[in-house]
Amino acid sequence: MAQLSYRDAVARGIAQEMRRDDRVVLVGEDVAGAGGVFKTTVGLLDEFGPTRVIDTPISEQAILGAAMGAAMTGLRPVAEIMFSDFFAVCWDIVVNQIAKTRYMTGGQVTLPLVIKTGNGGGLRFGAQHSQSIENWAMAVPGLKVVTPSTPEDVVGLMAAAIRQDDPVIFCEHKGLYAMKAEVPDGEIVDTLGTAKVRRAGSDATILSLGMMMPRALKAAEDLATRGIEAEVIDLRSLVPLDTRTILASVAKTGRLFTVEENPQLLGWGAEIAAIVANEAFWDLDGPIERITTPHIPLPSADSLEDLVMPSAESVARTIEKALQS
Amino acid sequence: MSPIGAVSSSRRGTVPGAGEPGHRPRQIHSPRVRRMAADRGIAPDTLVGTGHRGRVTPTDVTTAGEVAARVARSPSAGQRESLDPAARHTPAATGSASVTVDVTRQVAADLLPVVLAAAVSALRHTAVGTAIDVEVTRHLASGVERRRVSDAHDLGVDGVRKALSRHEIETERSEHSNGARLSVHDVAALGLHTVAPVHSPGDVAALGVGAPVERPRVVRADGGWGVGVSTTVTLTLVWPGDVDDALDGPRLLALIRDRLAPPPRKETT
Repeated sequence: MAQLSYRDAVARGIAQEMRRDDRVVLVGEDVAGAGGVFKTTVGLLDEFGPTRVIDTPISEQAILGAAMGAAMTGLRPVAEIMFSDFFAVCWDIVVNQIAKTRYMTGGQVTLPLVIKTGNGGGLRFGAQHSQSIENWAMAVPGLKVVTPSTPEDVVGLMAAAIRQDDPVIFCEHKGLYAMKAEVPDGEIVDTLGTAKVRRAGSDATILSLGMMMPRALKAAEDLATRGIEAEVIDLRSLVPLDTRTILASVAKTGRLFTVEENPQLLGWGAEIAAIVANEAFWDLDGPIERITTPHIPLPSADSLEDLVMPSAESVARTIEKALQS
Repeated sequence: MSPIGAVSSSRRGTVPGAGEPGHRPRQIHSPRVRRMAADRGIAPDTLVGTGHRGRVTPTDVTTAGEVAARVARSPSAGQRESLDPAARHTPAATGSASVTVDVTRQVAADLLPVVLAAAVSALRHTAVGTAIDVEVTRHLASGVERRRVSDAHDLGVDGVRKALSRHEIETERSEHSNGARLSVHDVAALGLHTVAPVHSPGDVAALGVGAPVERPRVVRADGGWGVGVSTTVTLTLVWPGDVDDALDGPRLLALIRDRLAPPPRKETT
């Protein structure tokens, strides 16, 4: 057991799988010599060499085109899109090619491809480098969507993603890269589609992922001092989604809150709210409440970005008010 | 503002007509409350909510279910046909207690609504979340007159007074109640000072109300002692007392007393 940062956990997870399977390769801008713009691939070039850790030109379409071709011809590539915002320039290959090939070939061609990407805000990167795009990706049939919130989960979920035969969008939250936590030694392999209950509670269920998870946890601790015991669930994976854990928690608490780092309109919480309304309507003791950013691009100014992102204080305030009404 | 014009959260839960004169807000129950109430055979509209603005909470349903189960378990609770024939003639064990209350500050001529409101308030305190019906039997020289005050938990003194004057006289005693039922026997018209009421099946308790009596009372006034007149009434409470978790009758009677004549505040230094 050792302290590991979230960013180092990315490299450890990839390295673990590259040691295990020669077919695993890494491609992306500056992932080799520079160790990644966010330093999430440091040491991989030295250990695995330039034939398996490959720098690419500045072209997202080229990165994903090369990765898709590699996946179709027997490799298991990990491709990096530096900022998740840049998925917008390569949606055609992601949505129309990568996501659909296995279906359109009747399962004859699989796409064992992980697209890792720096996701989310809070670092003053502005409107074009701060978005959380899980809800874009989860709307596309054929893609799996993962967002870990702890270093241990980064290692385990990265391993699980690489071992998938389907394409996985692996969202690394940029605001968590510096976070450190204990990570067990040895091989770690997690399971996609499994949520974790980070804190047990009986009065409300809070769903979160990525950087919103520690904020939800802090909000729950604050609420506990005022007699409200909230259960905090870290979703970790949106596709596949662990509906069993969600529904069991709602059956216990009767109230559901989502904490989302995306605008409310069609955010991931909207889909989960619909699922809970369908499957657990008779367990609900009040409206489902979604805590999101407003329907605006994320601002660059630190004060404005802090204002629009859900904070532990705003989460606690919203939940307390809802439970008292 | 929502980008697609969704209803803002501030408008949630409003009911058409709310705020209009004479409008009584319709209780809106959450799906969870409705399911829990259905599971327990309780009509949710009969529940008294302890939540924000009287909202019925899951805890209210749980409490009401426990009270209903307690009443149902009582040997005297409306199960006469299912009892062993020999048991029919065995008087159910009951508890009873009496108290004489100073009601000088009340209007003696119209005391019954005040006593009923106090009793309902006290009963709510001991059985929160339960609807309360009151069945009043007035014993007159010409016979008995029965009136029923349904949903008494929603009424104050004036509401009880209006209900007593409005409701039709019932010739038969009702065997059904949506919630906790309190039987009240008023013997004031006969000039009797006290009565030990019969506890009937389905009642959580029975309360006997005697005639008001004026008594001399030593009072302290203007730094000296004197003799004044106070009006008192004797209340007698009977409750099923042979089950382990029976109603706490003495506490209920004390609560009724304290609502009619609040104990003097302790002097503090």
